[in-house]
Amino acid sequence: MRTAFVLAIVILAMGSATAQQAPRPIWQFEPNLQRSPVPEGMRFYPKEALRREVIGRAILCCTPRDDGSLACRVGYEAPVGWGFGASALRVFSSLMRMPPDKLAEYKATWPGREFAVPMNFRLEPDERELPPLTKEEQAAMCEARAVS
Amino acid sequence: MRRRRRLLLIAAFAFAAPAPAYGERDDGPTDGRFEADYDRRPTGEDFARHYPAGPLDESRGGSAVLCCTPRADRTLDCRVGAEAPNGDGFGAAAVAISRSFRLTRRSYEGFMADPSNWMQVPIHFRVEPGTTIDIDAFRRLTQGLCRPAATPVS
Repeated sequence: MRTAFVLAIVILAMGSATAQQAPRPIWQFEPNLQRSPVPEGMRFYPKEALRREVIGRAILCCTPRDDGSLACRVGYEAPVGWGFGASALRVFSSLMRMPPDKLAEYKATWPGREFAVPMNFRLEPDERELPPLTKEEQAAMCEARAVS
Repeated sequence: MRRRRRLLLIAAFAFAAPAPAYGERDDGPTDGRFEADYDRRPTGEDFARHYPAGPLDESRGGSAVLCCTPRADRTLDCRVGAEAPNGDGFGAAAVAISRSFRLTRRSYEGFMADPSNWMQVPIHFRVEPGTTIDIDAFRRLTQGLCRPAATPVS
């Protein structure tokens, strides 16, 4: 029985205009997922997926509200049907806050801009990997590109 | 009317390129999916008929990845592995379109000969002019998605 798993909030990818000077928010975790990943994370792993040992990934597209909480939508989730997107939304809507200084910096630099936040759902011990992603690839799931 | 004609062409083109050549166009190593050959494929008309209404009205494209197994009549039984943008209906539309696939007899026999074979079929929708997702990023994201160990068939 796999009782431990890794709830990895990997890298924060800013919006499309990712430049060197892009701000990188430091998240306040309430409670701190990094310090106690198992008891907190367990609540958020989709139950049936956990039982069937399905791993997955969601990419949320978020904008910070004035109080630092996040308004997010699911930009991408896979495999679909297991609730990884909904679980990621629950995590980010209830646990994540942008600290005031980062919020001010973000709103000044990227007003109204969404940023992409990937969340991987993996089990431990487990050798299965999810494909590594660049920040640009993550951000791409929150954007539309012109075709002509 | 004019726009509809254009959609037919684009849909047919979009499908023709990625489906069989999926693995070759990825940056990373191929993910080991079965490389299927078809003697019947969805047509541009199939794409036009099933294109999700909202995105079509707004000239938005999208993609889906289907995880499929062949039926005895060599058509495909598919479920949605991933779709983007999320919730726009491209997954369901791709499943509808997938009913038009049929494996060649040789390809079907090749698939059935090895129980470890698995299929992953990407379907891309787009309208020109319009917007769409970054298809290369979507390809990378969905590498190996339908591999049985990663996603048990329910």
